[in-house]
Amino acid sequence: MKATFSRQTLLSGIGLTQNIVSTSSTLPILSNLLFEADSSGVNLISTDLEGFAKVRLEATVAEAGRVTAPAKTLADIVRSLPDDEVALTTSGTRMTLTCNRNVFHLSTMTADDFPEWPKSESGVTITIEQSDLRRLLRNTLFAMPGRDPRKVLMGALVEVSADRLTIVATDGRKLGKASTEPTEFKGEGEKSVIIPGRVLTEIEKSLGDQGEVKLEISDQRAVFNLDNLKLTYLTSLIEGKFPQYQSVIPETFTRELQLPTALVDDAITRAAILAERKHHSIILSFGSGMIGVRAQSFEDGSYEGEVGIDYDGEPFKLAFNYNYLHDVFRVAPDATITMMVKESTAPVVFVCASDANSLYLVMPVRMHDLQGEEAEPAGVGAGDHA
Amino acid sequence: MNWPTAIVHVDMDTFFVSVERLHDRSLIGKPVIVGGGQDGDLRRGVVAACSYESRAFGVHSAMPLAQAMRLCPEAVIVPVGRSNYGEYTSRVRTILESFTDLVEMASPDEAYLDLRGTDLLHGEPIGAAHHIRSRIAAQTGLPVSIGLATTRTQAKIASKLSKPSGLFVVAPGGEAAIVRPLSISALPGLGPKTAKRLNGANIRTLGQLIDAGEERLVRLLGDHGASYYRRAIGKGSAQVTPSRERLQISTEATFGDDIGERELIHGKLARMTMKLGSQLRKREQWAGTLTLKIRYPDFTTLTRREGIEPRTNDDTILYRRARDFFDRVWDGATPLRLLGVGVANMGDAVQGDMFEDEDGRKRERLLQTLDSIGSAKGNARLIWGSALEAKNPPAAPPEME
Repeated sequence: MKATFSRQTLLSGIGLTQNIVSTSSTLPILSNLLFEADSSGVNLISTDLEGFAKVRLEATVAEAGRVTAPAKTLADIVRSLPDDEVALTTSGTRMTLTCNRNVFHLSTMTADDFPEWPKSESGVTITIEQSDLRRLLRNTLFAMPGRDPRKVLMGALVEVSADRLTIVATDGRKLGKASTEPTEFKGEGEKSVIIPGRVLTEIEKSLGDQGEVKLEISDQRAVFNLDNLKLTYLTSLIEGKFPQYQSVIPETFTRELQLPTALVDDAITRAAILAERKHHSIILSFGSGMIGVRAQSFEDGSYEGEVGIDYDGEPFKLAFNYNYLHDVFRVAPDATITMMVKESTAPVVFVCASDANSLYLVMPVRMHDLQGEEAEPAGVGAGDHA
Repeated sequence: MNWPTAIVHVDMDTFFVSVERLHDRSLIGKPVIVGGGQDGDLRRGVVAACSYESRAFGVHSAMPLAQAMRLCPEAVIVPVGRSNYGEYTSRVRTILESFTDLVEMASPDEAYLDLRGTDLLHGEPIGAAHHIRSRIAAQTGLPVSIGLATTRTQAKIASKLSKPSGLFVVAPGGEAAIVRPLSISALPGLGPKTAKRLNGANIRTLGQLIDAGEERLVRLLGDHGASYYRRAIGKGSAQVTPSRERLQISTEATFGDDIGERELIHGKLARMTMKLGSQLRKREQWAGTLTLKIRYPDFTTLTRREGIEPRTNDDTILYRRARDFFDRVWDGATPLRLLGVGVANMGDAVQGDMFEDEDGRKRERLLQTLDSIGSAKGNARLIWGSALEAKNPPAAPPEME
């Protein structure tokens, strides 16, 4: 194989694929990238067996061929090179990368051992704007757990119908739900699948402001085509039953407040410094015209702050893990976020006016301090002014 | 009188005996020993509490029962656990907490109070201490000794000096003078080994200990010497840690006959974890660590701990975790002489999970109901089916550490 790329093309191609690899020692080839050169260009492919990534790179190909080389090493090499043409040649089991007056020789592994790209299956296909999908992923993926024995939570629920694409992710403590209208829908009926979070995180990074995404969903897998980037992600689905998220979203509320996103987030940042390390809890007390933000660490000390808000209802208190509030405030697009409360043991709903199709849930912390202060039938703890 | 700090030590006199006497008036005036092992077996039991009448014969708590019975053959032996001591502990605690939040239950029959900030409601510390004593006597019928001083050590010495059923005040500045004539072993925490070493240096009274000075005591006893000195002269700690923050609740049982059947042991664990769960719920706390203690007949003792994530106060979860933990720790063959289980690393908050299964929520409501029935009926014995395997509850009430 002999091909010449611009350094920038090669670097961005490696960037789009290098995270869909597996570093487990059982199948070392999974830590490699596959180069497939034909007369008109080069496909760069990676896989961790669960997911596959493929990007078509512009290149001048003098000799077609296939070869694999370690993703991380390639990334390090190309990143280090000057901005010039990079020539890639293979001879035997070696790959040579030449750029300017720099020459790297790399050990390779035969492309024959690289897993085959799965065959396509029939299913439904929807088309949406890339910017739309990016918004949906931003508003949901934050709620996915880093690790969880419940496998279904390690992915996002993707529900597709002719007029709706809805994505939901949750770790049971927080939840993000967002939906949009597809520009095009092909196929029959509705599909509801769980797509692994790892691939979705990569896709979110690749999505731009321009262009569309074509999403094909079959019974076994999902394929994302980003045509303008000549980029394809394919992933197998997570089997199992996603929690009944609709049933935990409260429909009636006893309180509704508008919070200044940045000011409240800042106060939470301050409170977090002295939040109890065991459970990261802070207490929000909502009173006439203000929110009190309070944290107390048994060992270290305490914080109390106030943020002015437009509220004149009954005072009440809620405790939260500050991380989850940060997560929501970070993705919320508006300067003001609406908080809706049913009771202190139910998830609290956050929504933004500019995006009626997204909502966030945060489950409050049950705290000793707040209990016994519950005065109203609604079950929300009464505050100091009650 | 100006009190820079006012610490009260509350010591229930012969607590278990006093509780038994409330239930059985015929025990009044007789030498009474409360003790015994699991399953009412007296062979291996120890004295949990003994009346003043039996103490006259040389009986003291923690003494093997067999020895106590030899010393005082006419003593009435009451098996430990016949009455619900925990119920009285919590009654006393409620009374104490009506004076101040700063109540540290040091054991089921002992507590420290910090009286700071109580003067507006309860007046001078001496008056408040009187009130505490009379209120406990009036509301529980139990005799209690009270010590009031500026530090924990002095308050504890004072309550001892007040026994039985008295009030002893060590006024600010009077600490050293009060303790001088006392034997060094009157200093809490100064054990027989240290006493022997001090006696060897001709230090027998706390007066001699104070006169020896800090430097000499450190030479004799190392760092502990400084602590003994400071506490003796009234410079010890006045820190009272409210029991909410206490570190551990545990319960253990020594078996009359060693037990080696897994199901039987699981049954015992079920009972013990029920008890722990109910205590946690009463305190509105959730435990993050489980501790396990097993002792084989040759006295080999294994203690292990592991985390529980997320924190819980649910009997069923505690039981399952304790059972699995036990199965991993136990060799599966050697019978047990002792089994103990406890919880630690308590948090007063727990993150809710929106998908917590409906079972979990139902169980929570059920536990609340059981707890309320349990406390309404006093000594009610509502137990899970799995706990029925074990015929008797653990001998010792939960200990605080």
